[in-house]
Order: sequence, then C-alpha cells, then structure tokens
Amino acid sequence: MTEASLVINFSPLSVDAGVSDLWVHLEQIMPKENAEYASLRDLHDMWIAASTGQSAQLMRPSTCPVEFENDIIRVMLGFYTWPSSPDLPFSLSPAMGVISAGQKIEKVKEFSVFVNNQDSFALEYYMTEISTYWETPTFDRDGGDIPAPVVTIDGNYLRFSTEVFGAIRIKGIAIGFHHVVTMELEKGVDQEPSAETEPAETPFDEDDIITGLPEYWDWNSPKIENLENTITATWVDGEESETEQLRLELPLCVEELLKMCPNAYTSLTAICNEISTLTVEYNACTGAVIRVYFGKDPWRYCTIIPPGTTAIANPWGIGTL
Amino acid sequence: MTESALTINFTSPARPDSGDFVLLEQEAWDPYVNYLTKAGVYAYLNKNLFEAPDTVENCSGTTGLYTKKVFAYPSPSTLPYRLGFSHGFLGLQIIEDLIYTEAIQCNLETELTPKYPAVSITRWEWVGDAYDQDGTIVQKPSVVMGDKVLTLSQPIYGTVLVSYWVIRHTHQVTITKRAGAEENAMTSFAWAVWTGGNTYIKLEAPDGADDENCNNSVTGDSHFEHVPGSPGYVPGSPGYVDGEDEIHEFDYCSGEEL
Repeated sequence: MTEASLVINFSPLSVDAGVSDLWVHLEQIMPKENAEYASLRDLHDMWIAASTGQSAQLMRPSTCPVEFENDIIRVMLGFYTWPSSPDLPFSLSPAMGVISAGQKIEKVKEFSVFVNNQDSFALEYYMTEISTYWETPTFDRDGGDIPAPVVTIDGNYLRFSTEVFGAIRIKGIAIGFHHVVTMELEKGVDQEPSAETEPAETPFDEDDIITGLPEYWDWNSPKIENLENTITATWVDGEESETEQLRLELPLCVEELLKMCPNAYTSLTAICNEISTLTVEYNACTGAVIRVYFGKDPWRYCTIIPPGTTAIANPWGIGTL
Repeated sequence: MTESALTINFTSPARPDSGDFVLLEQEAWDPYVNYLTKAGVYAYLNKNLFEAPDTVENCSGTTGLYTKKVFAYPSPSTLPYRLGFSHGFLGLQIIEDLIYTEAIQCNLETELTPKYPAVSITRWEWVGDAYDQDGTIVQKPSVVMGDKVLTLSQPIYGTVLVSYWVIRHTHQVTITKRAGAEENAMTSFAWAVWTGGNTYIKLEAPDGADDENCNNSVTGDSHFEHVPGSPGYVPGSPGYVDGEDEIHEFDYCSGEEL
C-alpha cells in the first residue's frame, strides 16, 4: 500500500440498508372496527319488531365466519399475501388448518404517511399506477423550509430528491393474493342434549332458537379458549430462506362460539320493580329458554318504576308488571 | 505522508442538539364514543318503556367530520414554532398556564423529569416508602428541586408526587372526510417545526369514523339480519343463509306452531 492509496470515505447509510428487496407481507382481513358489537339500531329494529307483533327472535347477528357439521365447528379466516413482486415464489404454512389456493387480487390502496427526515419510503405492497402528492409544506431536519422534493418510483420504493420532513398521500393498485385458512375444531355440536341437562318444561318451544346456531349443542362439549394460529410465509432471497409470520386474530363472534358454553346457562332480568323480578334463564348456546320465574334478586341491577308511571310496552310478551 | 494522501469525510447532522423541542399530544377520546354501552341500552329501554327523555348518542366523526384538540408544549415555553395539519382545518389557539400534578416512579435514577416540559416545579412530596435495589426499605433520599428536574441524593425505588407549572398551547382542529378517498379518508398528522428541529404525531379518529357508523344511534348500521322468510327480510339482502336452517312460524298470541 502506498501513501497515496490510503483514502477512506465514510458515507451515510441509506435507510434501505439491511432491508431486503424481496418480501411477502401478510394481512388479516378483519371486520370493520365497531361492526363486531351490537348497535342501538339492532336493539331498535328488534324493539320495532316486537312492538308491532312480529317476532324479534327472527333476527340474528349477521354472518360469523363459521360452519357447523356434525361434531365439528369450521372456522374460516381470510387474509391477504402481498409479495414484493407478483411472480415471487413463496409458500404458506399454517400452524393449524388448511390454506386455500391464493386468488390474485388487485386492490386500490390509498393512505397517508409521514416522511420523517428520510430520503425514501419503502412501500408495503407491490403497486402499479402510483400517484402521490405532498399534503404539507416540506422541511429539512432543522426546521427550514425546502421546496417539495421530486418523487420517483424505484421498484417498491418512493425516492425523494432530498431528505425531507412532511406528509405524503399515496394511491395505487396493490397486487396480491387472497387466501382463506380453514380450521376444524371438534366441539360436539350436533348431539342430543343429555337427560340430566335437558331443560325443564318452559312456556317456550325448545326449537324456538334465538340465534343461528345448530338446533342441538352438546352442553358438555369442551370449551375452547385462547386458540392461536399462525401463518408462515416462506420465500428464498439469494441463498437464504426468509420468513414472515402472521398471528391470526379471532373475530369476537368466533371467540364466543368456541368458548360457549359447557353445561352452562345464563339469565337475564327481564322486568324488575321494587318487589319482584322476572328472570329468564336461557341456554347461551341455543338461545332456548330454560326457566322463567318471579323473585327478588337483590344482586340484580333493578329499576324502580316511579309511582304513577306505567309501562307502555311489554317487549318480551310474558309476565305482567 | 503528504497531507493530500489521507482523505476522511464524515457525514453527520451538522447542528448541535440545542435541547429545544415541542411535545405534541392529542386530546384523548372517550373510549365509548361510537359504541353502545349497557347504560345506552338502559336509557333506550327506559325511554321506550317509561317515556324518559331522549338518550345522548355519544357519536363522533360519523357524519364525515370530527373536532378535537391538539396540545403543544414548547420547551422552552417561549420557543417560536410553526404548527400545522396534513389534513383538516385549524381553529383557535389558546395559551394556558396550568399546574400539573404527576406521580413519578423512581427506578434507581437520580434525576426525575416530569412527562411534560416544566416551566418550573412548584412542589413535591414522597408517596409511600423508598426501597433499595434489594427491596429493603431505606431512608428517603434528600431531593434538590430544580426548575425542570428533581435530583435525588441516591438511587432508590419509590414514588414522588410532583406539581409543576406548564405552558400549554391548545389548537382546535376539525378533520373532514377526504372527498373521493378510497380508504383512510380521515387520516391526518399534526406537525411542528422550529429552528433546529421538527416533530409530528398521527391523529386518531374514533372507531367507526371512516365507515360513518355509530353503534350508539338508532340511525346507525344494524349488524343483525332478518331470517329469510320472516317479516322484514329483504330478498337478496346480503347475509348468511344456511340451507339447513329450520324456520318455525308461531302464532304470536297462542304460541302455537303454524
């Protein structure tokens, strides 16, 4: 080595350093935020049905991604795979269940991101027809105004002509695959109720089912809780095998179905005043009414009907005030 | 070796860290916004049964806009800064002079800094005992009160209740739904820049705002479906139709199966 050859150049690391250009991202398809919970509109519709002489029992919660077959509950959960390129070979393996063949999809994606003193942004999808615009003034890292950087598309990156601080809106068509993982769980669904758990005689027909569940449910069936399933995507990057995992969340309705309700019933206080409560016990699986009785239950939340007021409707159609 | 033979280039942020900053924070949402609570069910039934007053809907963002406060805490409190939003309309700014009280956990540090930038600490007191790293109760260390930090004479585990004076800038922002947006129509960021730095936060819209769905309103979406064939069922409406469902029709008055 000569003196002249000793040249050391330090360069700042790119934000892309260490990030592979080959990837498969996984995304579970979940119900919309508050659609998993009952709404006042549900209650209102049932109230209207009951108060106009129709049966509110002919309304049921909307689709839950499950099927019943003999002793089996079949749970079906959808998810997307978003590979870095539509022709990237990859495989999927579930910790539990079977994954359907992928169905290619093209989905419009539109979102805002904040570019936090960066000169590039890694997209999470392989996208075509990308358009962008800056939503804020643009600044350098010292708070100084700078002209909006030019945005160029480089594979799955947006490159900016200079490091920038500012928000950008991105819209494009993401290309990926839609899959369904199907899990089968033995729950003991389609059994006749056993003699000792058969409900007492009630003013309701046993078949008068409130929810969309099977007619019979084995009340001693196992309670399934804390079910976990993980999907693993595997692909090859050079000599290395790479993986990404998705831990599936169970929609609330599935979670409830799986854990209800060995040998159990629940009750609600239908009508209550200062001297008596009307309690309805019902099977939490089938919705079948088990027992109806009057009695004082000090532990129940109980409204006192003010003197001089009367009920203007009796939505349950049973008992008297 | 001649001077020209050795070339070393360092690239790093040029500015020294001045210590100036702006802390941004969004006013929290009531966790029950857009959700139906047991109290909501009770109020609705009470209204229908006993003609009680109308219920309060507690909906937000589901009519295509929401209004929320964003707090900025500049440090030092006189720091000039610019604030904006990537989407939305900025309302009035209010500057408030407030006393905050905060319980600070000591985890063997000797310097305690409140969460928000203090103009000055006004008082402090110990809450409970002080413990050493073996869990033995020890004498509480002496405390020196500075403007922005408390300094302990020795590291301990314990809790100090601190009151301090802050200057809070409250900015009211109205976020609207972006016309024609395919998704994420209400995403917005609050940003602040000052000489020497910048920061931002993502604003959280309440659940259901993007879908314009309030669970706590009789005009919101229903998540129930009528059983096919029953009154109220709309043929062709979306929903789960199980071919194995059995439909039983009953006379409403007698309860006899038809």
